[in-house]
Amino acid sequence: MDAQALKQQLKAQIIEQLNLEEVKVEDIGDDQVLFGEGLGLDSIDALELIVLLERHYGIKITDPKQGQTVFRSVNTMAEFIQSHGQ
Amino acid sequence: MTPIAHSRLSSGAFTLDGALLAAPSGAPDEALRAAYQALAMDYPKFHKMDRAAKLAMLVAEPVLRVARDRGADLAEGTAVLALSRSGSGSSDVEHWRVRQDTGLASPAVFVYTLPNIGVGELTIRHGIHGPSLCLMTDGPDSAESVMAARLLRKAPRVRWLVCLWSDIFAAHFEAQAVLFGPDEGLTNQADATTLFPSTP
Repeated sequence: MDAQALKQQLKAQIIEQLNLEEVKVEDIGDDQVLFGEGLGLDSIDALELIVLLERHYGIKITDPKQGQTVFRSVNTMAEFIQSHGQ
Repeated sequence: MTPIAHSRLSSGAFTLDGALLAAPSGAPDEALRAAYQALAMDYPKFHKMDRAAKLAMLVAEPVLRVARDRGADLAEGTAVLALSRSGSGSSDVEHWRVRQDTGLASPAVFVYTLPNIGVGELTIRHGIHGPSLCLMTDGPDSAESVMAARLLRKAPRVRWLVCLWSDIFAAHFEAQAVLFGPDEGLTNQADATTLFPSTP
């Protein structure tokens, strides 16, 4: 899967997994910050993203500090997934 | 013991003091979404909540709007009593199902496997810092419900009291909310045995 297709897939999975009913795929920018002032995700959402990576991509995140970097944006998530051979 | 405002939400009817706000029908998820849209709440976090918290949030919204219109001090002068029969049963079952299906727990589901989470969501949304209590009871007007309401009403600084009965499990859901103000003192009516009017 190329990078752009992966990002589109990730956005759809984020919306579904986090029940972001009022958000559409096109509302999420590739480099948009996901937490805090960005998409407004919270700590429970961070845990859901960890589950998402494990469920859909077979990647486990065990270090919370790693999560802060990986989940900064869709771009960073996609780069992380691709660097792990997906 | 007459509340200032009384809302009811069940399949087919969402009312405030008998006036129809919406006629939500269909499965619970669909009906709750319709009720949310009817209130024009604009609260994205609503969609992340479980059904029990959504139901409590929705039925409380109209009476809290009345409270705000009447100048209630929601931050410091308001208490909340939440009553339910099934509590977090729906989310407990969902948590079990997700674990069976995927082998992984969903944090967003698991976080709602406590019956008092709906009160927390409600107080966060409305900035209510007063005392709150969540009780599991067989019905809205059990003896312990009335006793708990009196206790909350007597708490320091509390002048307004919101009582919620919300119950959802599988396809069944029903909820009521009443608002008592400073002049509708539960404390002075020792013989009162009900919180929720039978009509409308």
